[in-house]
Amino acid sequence: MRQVAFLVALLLATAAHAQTRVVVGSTGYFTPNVYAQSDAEGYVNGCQTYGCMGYYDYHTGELVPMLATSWESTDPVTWVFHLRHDVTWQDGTPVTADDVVHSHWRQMNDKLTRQVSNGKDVKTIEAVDPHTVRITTNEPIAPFLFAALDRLTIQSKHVYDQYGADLADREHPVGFGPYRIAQLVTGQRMVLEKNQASPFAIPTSPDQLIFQVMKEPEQRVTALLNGEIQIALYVPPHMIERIKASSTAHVALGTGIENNFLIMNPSIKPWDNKKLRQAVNHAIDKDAIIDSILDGLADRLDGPIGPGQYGYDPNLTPKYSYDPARAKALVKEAGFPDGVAVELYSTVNRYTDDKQTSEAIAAMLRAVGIKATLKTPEWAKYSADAEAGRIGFYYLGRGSVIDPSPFLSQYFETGVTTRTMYSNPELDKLLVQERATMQPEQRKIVLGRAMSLLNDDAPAAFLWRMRLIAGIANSIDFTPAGTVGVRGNDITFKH
Amino acid sequence: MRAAAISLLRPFAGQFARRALGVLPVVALVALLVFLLIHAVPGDPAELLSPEDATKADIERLRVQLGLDQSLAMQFWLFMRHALTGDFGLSFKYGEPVGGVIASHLPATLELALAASLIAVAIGVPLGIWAGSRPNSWLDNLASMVGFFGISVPGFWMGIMLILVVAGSLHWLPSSGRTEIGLDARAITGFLLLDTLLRGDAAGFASTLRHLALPALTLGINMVGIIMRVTRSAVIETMHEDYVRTARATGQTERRVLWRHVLRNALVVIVTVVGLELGTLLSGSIIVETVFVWPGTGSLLIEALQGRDYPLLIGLVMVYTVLFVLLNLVIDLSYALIDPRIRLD
Amino acid sequence: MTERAFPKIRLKLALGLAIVLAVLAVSLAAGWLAPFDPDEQSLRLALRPPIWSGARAVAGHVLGTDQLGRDILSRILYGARVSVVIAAAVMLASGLIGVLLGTISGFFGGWVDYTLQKLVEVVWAFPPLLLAIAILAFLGQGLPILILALVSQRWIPYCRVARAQALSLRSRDFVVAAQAIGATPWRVISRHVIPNLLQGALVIGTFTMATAILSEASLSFLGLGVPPEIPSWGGMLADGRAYISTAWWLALFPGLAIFATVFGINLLGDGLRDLLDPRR
Repeated sequence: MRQVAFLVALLLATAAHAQTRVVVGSTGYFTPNVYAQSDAEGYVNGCQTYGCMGYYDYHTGELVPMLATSWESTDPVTWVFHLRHDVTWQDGTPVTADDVVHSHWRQMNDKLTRQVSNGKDVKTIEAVDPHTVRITTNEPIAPFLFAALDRLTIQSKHVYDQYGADLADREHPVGFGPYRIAQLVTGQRMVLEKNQASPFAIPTSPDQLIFQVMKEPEQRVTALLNGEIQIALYVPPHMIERIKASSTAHVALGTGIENNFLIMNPSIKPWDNKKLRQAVNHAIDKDAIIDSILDGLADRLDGPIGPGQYGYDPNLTPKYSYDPARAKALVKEAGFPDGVAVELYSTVNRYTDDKQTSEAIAAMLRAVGIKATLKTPEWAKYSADAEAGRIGFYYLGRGSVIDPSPFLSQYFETGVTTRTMYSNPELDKLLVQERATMQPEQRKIVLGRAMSLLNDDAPAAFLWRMRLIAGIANSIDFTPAGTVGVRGNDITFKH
Repeated sequence: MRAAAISLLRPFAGQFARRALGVLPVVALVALLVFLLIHAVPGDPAELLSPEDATKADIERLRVQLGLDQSLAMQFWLFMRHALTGDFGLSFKYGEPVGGVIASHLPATLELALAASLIAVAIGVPLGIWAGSRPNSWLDNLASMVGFFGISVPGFWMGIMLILVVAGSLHWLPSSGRTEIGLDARAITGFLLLDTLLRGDAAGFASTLRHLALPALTLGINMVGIIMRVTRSAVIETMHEDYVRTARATGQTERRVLWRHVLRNALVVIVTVVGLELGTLLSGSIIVETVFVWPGTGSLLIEALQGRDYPLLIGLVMVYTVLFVLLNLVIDLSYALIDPRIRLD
Repeated sequence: MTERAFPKIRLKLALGLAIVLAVLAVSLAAGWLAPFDPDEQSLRLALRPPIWSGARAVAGHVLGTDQLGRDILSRILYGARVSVVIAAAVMLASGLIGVLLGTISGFFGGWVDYTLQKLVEVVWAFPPLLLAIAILAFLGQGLPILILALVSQRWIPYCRVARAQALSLRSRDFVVAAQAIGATPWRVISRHVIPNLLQGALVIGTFTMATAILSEASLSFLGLGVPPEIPSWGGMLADGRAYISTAWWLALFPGLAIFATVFGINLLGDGLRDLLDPRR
């Protein structure tokens, strides 16, 4: 801690000559132990401070090399990564394959790790030579690269060996990324300083990058307009007018941040009734909700995923149009001539404008004879009930859907899902086939079939995909992508 | 003089120690109750902490890691055994020792509560004396209305309105946070007003004051009404006491009578109320901290509760309980100091 | 009490009573008074300001509309019901429990008193919101549960006052006399002790009502209030907070309704206290 304080003092002393600084109003939290965190922001910060083999670029949809210059899959379960030779840790020691192996070990075995799911598919990992890592997986996993590159923070083995986990994290945060951790106050703020010696540091990025935890959107927008921060992430749609009206900041739209949908758990009556599930799909006027409540800042979903997500097909069938007459008829056909009473569960302030949209949906359902009563339990209870499949009809969002494979499996595959309790052998077969298909075009065709099946059987009503809305100071250029993480290297200053 | 004061205080120190020890069973009982309560409340910490793509196996693994797979009795035994040595475990969410997490948030809450009490006393006591010394005058009526306003206004709603008008439209004061971002934020005591003074940082001190103003006023407003009204009744009551009448009859000036005799007696009541309210403020600040995004124990408590961060939650409740109970003890004892006629039993 | 004070006390009582009765009347007559169905949504007419402020206002929606285009005035009128029910129920339930336990505690003394007072101490040592939140989380959402959550700590002031009074009454002549002629403890309590307590309880009662309304708002603010299906002031305030910088009317009016009601109750309570307390 003393070293950190010294660094800060040094930092403040040198702040006199024109340092460029960007403050980010963040919704995340920060802990010294990067493996104890499993949110998107944590991975981005782990990568830009300690480092990673590569990362997913949300703008281009490509995996970008960092420590690894290239990688190849020699057979369906084996991956080989070739590391750069010229990268050193902040203390001058070269970064080697042993560090990668050590980091995977820590990700799996740290006493505080929350990241076991990222590395659980790894069967073996070895340093073939100082600059080559070979990983074998338990079974063929087409989207494995994402976990190995983007989701594994690389730390130095020798610092860990010398100081142990706690001391290493707190007092010797040694990395090779473009930034170094200058100050970290758990749960409140993190100050990053550019690591000039890093080969990944670029001249255009800010010298100092501060993440200040600001949990309330109102707070972030006000701070942005007051010039206290330069980047306000997660701005609710109805607040963008305030930013637009200002002369010092502008609104930047990123790609989708989360897919929102309604689950209809077929194991709970009356949701075992396919016609009723389809009626719900026809009853909701998604466009009206997007236009009014979400201020047009969401994209309608006609299936599990939307534009920009891997395997999206605009011509996926069947599609559900807003058709209250058809919905009413379906409710009758489903065997409810006098309508049916259901409970609709909604989160509050967890997803963008969740309660408002659920209230609007409930009213639309009532109009076609599905007498929905809105329930809004506390999130801890809500998610426990949802996870255990105890509630039948509920609103949910799923972020970080880049490749739909894990999402589809988690929610709809027999034996995996508890959230929908859905079971369809035909779908299960398609999902297994999809994961084992390494050829992208063929894989997309299989995924398309699976999603088409889901649309028809309708265990969920897919609603919309929220855009990531950010308020950005006019002094900088930054476009948010499908994550709340902010990479310093993506920020440039306007002159 | 000093020796006399010490000898006067000695019995109180003994009293304090004895009664402070008597508090321990209550605190232990509260800990047990909280422990049982939070485990009875639905919600699974492992599930809440897991990322949204976690599988059931991932969640189960985390549950084991957090020690939640053990029996409730075993968990409580482990907790108590560690708690007795001052170790309240690691926060589930932050992975940091609970004591440290609370310690880094407590000064913010105490600073806010103290500032709120100060504002309330500064407004409430003079207003109460003013009103009480002239019962049923116009001034009294006006002061009474201020008091009623203070008692009746929903504090957090007033906070929201203050943010809207004072911070939003007029831009006079900041709407959230403890100090400007980017200013030196190293903690010495954690009390920013004190820290900035110690560091000789005038800009930081001013910024901290400006940030403190709205939340402290919001938190203090209910207390203004209570203190004003209590002071008023106390003043009215003592005005009728014989010794006050005597003092008046002996020709002492009205002002002297008021300050020497009336106020001294009213002080007992005022101290009680301020103390009691300070206790309420500590937990009442939960909402005000949420409105002003104040990084104190109130918002931490909500976060711990919503995230089912058991160790942090129990730690916080115990800290609150101890503070609350100790505060009441101090009030009890301060009676005897202010008014020697009151004996402790 | 001086002669001059009389009209003032009566004024306080009258004003307080008038406000409380008005709220009561509104809650009963909401169906006739409200210009719109409080749940009727119109997404096209969402977030329109009150009629006196600007071109975007819509005729008929006097206090404007909320994020779903519902009429704010109608929701406030209907919302009075929740506040009235909560205030009355919390006051009655905590009064009943508190006075009963306090009387038993003070009258019997001994281990009964000791046990009850330890209970009081422990319950009172909890941070107020925590207990309520735990109860709501455990038992789920609903008006009765919310009332239970609020009662969980509000009975204590009654209990304390009742105990103190029972303690002092116990040795009074008429109670001792009743016991001497062989009256059972229950009879003594119900005939002699409780009637003497009611005066103190009445004053605490008004305070409890005021606190209950404010607490409902606080819990709603944390998302733990009444179910969203029922229009309530606290719920409206909580929803409105997100729109504070863009649509101030969402949070302003329900807050004013809460303030006015609590103000009326406090006036009434203070007037009652002055009237009942012969010392002033």
